[in-house]
Amino acid sequence: MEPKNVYIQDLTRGLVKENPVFVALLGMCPLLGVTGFLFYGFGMGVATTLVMIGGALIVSLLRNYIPPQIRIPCFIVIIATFVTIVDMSLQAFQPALHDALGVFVPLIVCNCLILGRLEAFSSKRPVLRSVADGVGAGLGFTLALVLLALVREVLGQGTLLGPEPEGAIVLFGENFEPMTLFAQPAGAFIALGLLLAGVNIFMKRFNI
Amino acid sequence: MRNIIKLSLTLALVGIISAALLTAMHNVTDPIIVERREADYREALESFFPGFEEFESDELDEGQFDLIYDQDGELMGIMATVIAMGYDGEIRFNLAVDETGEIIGVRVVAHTETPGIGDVIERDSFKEQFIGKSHEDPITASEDVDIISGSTVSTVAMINSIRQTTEVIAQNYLGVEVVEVDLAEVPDGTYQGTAQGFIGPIVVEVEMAGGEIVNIEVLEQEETVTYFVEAYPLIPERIIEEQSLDVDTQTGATASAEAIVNAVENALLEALGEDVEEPVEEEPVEPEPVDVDLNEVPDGTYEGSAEGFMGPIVVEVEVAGGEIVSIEVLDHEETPEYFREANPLIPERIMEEQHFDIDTQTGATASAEGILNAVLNALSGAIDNDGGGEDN
Repeated sequence: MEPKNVYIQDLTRGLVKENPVFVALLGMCPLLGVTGFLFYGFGMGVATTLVMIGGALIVSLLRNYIPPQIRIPCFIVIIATFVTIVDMSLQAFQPALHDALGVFVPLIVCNCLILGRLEAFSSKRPVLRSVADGVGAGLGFTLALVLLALVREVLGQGTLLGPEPEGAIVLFGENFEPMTLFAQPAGAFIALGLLLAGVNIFMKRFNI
Repeated sequence: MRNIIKLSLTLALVGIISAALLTAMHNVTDPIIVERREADYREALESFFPGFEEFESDELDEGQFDLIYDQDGELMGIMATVIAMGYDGEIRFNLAVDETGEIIGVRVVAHTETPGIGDVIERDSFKEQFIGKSHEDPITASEDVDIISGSTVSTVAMINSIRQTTEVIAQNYLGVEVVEVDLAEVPDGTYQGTAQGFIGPIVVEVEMAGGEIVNIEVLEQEETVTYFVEAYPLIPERIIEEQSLDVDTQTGATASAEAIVNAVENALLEALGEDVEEPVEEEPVEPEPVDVDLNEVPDGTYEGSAEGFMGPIVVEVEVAGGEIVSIEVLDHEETPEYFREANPLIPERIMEEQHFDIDTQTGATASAEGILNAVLNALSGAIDNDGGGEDN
């Protein structure tokens, strides 16, 4: 049997060392698209993580039954099913988040991060390890979204936990003029670049 | 073969299981989604029409219109759900209007405008400026409501849509009479009318003859060229073809199209309102100037222009003692290689012959005729001006 720490390894690998965003640069589209507010970034991260876990579970369970020739279409149908479930649940229970994420929720289907992990890991590993890997990759993605959204919301809006004016924490005084650039796509790229540079320095320094 | 069937069946099975799962999920979530939407809408209704009892929905081409009633069954107002085309897609919003047609409030339901730019349409300061206005107000950008600079397209789209919606409500539910133009009653003549387009006013000139619209021309507009071409000349053509103002304005530039229709309507309404109104003076546009008698031209230097092959050709003609002494081309847009064939040959021929029945068959006939016509225009203008002087 597998040694116990193998699960810990599967779980933590996606967080930093093989972070899907900072190391593999996967899932850029939602990463840039929905990180205008922390709430949206976090919501997207959780949605993707749920799809990731569900996909990993089912693909790993079915790994001996899915013929290799049609594994990709099967994976996509499985992912799409979970995405649609998440989409409908968001619409029912988190309508504000659903409206804000808009098309990016259905687009989780084509997030290469998910298909990549299912293809490379879950389709060849036992269920528990696959789920651990799914949780790790999902949380790693969420971490990246949250970090980027934090930078963008603080600089671009001057708030935290927006966008509802009542719920948002206004960080600076009334005279603060937000750097609108960071709320826009160009600012997302700039913030991502700076973040990647920062993470690289951090990883070099600590030899991760 | 066996293998392919097996593969297909496996994939089909995966699909069927997926579909079954999703159907089950849909049945769970759909009622909640619908209920939530309705609750949101009711909450908005309550904020605009406190104490309302029930509402009755009506669908028009322009959107959904809910007639709001109080406990006594009295009409409190109307809540419209309409769509404006913004910068980046549809802006779905509610417009609440009271029983006299005055705007109570605006609520943006969903939009996809650029964050930080177009989303200013959600700002209270923008929405509140409409409150108290009605179909009788212009509700026109920079007239009685303000656009937000930097977000012109989004805010103008909202303003235009709100104006149209107030009019639709007034006409359909508040019994405001629509002034119909009876074309047969409009006297012959040329009339001008103005209406607010997407960006600025559109001025049209409508020519009427025998109770029919024979020509519509846009004199002034400030619309974006790439959009305006979708509405013009298509809309004037439709109006003339159908001899009606009730034409389909669904184009790539609906706001401009509707503005053209409104401008035409305004022109005709004004024509009907004041029967004695003088038709606008027709600009004398003579495509082919008549022959000019040089003896009638007083001495002097005259400028004239005429269309060449590529654009207008401007000439300066000097006349002394009933003779043309010099012709100079001041400006033209012709291709130099060709224009060389016509200039200075044609001016030389004119001066040599001292009449205008000259041979223009050159390597650049169109340019040659352009020069000739420009000279004729210059001289005929000289005679007309002189005649006017004598009258005084």
